[in-house]
Amino acid sequence: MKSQLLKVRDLVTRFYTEEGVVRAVDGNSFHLGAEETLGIVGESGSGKTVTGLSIMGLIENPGRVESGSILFQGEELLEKTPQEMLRLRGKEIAMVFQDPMNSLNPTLKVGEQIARVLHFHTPLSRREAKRRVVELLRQVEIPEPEKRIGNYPYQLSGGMRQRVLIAMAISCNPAMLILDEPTTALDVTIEAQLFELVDKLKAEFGIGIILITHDLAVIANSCDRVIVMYAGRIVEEAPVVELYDNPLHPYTRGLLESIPQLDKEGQKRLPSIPGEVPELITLPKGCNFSPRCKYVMDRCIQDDPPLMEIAPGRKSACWKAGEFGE
Amino acid sequence: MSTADIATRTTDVMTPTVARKHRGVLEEVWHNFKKNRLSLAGGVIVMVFIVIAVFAPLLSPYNPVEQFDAPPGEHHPLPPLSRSKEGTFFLFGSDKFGRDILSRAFYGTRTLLQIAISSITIAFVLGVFMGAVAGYWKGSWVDELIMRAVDVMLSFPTLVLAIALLGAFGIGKTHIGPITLSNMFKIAIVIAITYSPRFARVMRGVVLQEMSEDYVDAAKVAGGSGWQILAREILINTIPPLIVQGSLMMATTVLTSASLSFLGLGLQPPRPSLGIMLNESRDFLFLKAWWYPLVPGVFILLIILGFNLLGDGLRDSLDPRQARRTRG
Repeated sequence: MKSQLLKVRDLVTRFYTEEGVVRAVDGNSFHLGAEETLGIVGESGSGKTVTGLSIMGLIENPGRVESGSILFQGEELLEKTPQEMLRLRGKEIAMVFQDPMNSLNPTLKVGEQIARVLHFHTPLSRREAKRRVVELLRQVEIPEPEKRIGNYPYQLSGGMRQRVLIAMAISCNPAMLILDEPTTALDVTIEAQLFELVDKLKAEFGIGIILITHDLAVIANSCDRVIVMYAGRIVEEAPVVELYDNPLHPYTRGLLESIPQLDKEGQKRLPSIPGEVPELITLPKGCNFSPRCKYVMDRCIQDDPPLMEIAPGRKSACWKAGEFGE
Repeated sequence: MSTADIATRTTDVMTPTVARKHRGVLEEVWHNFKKNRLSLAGGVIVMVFIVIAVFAPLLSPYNPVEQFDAPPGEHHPLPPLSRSKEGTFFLFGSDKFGRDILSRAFYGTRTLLQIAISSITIAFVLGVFMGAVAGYWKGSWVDELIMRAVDVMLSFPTLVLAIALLGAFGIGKTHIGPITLSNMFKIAIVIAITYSPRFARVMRGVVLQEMSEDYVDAAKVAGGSGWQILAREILINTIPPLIVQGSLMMATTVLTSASLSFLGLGLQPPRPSLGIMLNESRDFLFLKAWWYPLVPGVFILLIILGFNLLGDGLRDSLDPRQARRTRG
């Protein structure tokens, strides 16, 4: 087994809004090894991004990380002071957001923006920083890096901007990289190129990657292990191949069924999961998924199923999980 | 529509995208700015008055405080295009002490702009700092402290607050320990204090708007501290609205400093000041000395008009999106 880079236990993040308490992340545990890619998949509002921000220590008012533990390289992140977190962010843990169009400062040249991250964390001189920036742009396969550093973000295409953001993220050789829907705003060919790049960087620098997405195809192509989130909870965890072969949670099953398949003939209408994601303020008493689940039984409405280990490496939060395996 | 029309339209649509690659930021702004004749006129007016202010000693025909005698049988104020006993020529007439109104108006412009520009600079720095801090740490006690103080100050009419502050400081020089504040600098500071809350409010709003942009989150994730993000990422994006606010506020500071002089709280005679000239002229309104209030009045009017037009033009050219919105 690979060494544990990140170990999250019973993480609870809540937002205290005027409407009520939003349980955005509700007691989740997971881990990430070095050189591993962990996919976090789920609908909008399922707590994927909040999980990422909790690790980064960037949950802001009215939100709070309530309890749990985030061990990063053996150190407890939740006990660190804001100053210590400042030194960690961007240096040890980097994050790339989904929207490359807006994640770059429109009034600064891209070279300056990358150099800025270096300036936050390293004592490099101006000239050394510039050389490093060119080197980084070359690593993320941007052609003519010497020219590009003088460009403003609006002069770059979406794919280029995302590469620049990745260059920023890896500029200080982080141990862990969180990619938050990195390709949502890009088209499919660029997406493929980008994940090729991420894989290359992962192999080259041994970075552990958390890939947050709602796109199951992206997960299938680039992850080792997958976490499925629903309404703030992890409902299933599995190695990627096994998840696709044999999902152990009705929600995952629903998600996979709703992918259009070309080889299935006679399929008239794409199946979908009925109902809507519950409000995170007023979650149902039992299993969060019970109102939408077609396998629902009495116990599901009464008892909230915990995340249980069904088989080695396979966890599911469903009372019927054992039956799906057969 | 003729083909020629279509051709010109097409080029109109094409030019910005093609040209943008070759143009710098300032060129782009200038390109937008010069399209609007009115704002261009405002810019020209402002330039003219700045030239007058800077070169007042060279442009004025006479010393602004020198008194000349009226020719026999006549008395001051003399009407435009008349001569004194000594033979000096008064283009815009003389005032009640026999001084040349044109020269006094030139020097008055100089002092007025000196006060307005220095006060706007101080107000800008103070206000931008307060607004930036309040905006970045929105909801914190610092924000509350600054913004409630701003509320209190804004609840006073500007002129009333300025009069109260000047009343407290007194007229003439003030000694604070080893520092001596000249009367003019004191007026500038008082005006700056009354106007800084407006900059603070604008700045806070702009910072809040920028804070919602993803690049700020990206900078946080990259490990930037609050001050670093504020100074290096956000500030540069707040410049356009601040320039606009500054030039529009110039107009009101000009008015305030002229008003203070008019009320006798600003510069003291015999220093040339447009406000004092207006005040002195009140006594002669019924004696048909129309030129006496007209010259300083028109100077003040043109200066304010110039800054207002310039400000509007800058707003349109710095933020084309907003311009389109306001034009409907």
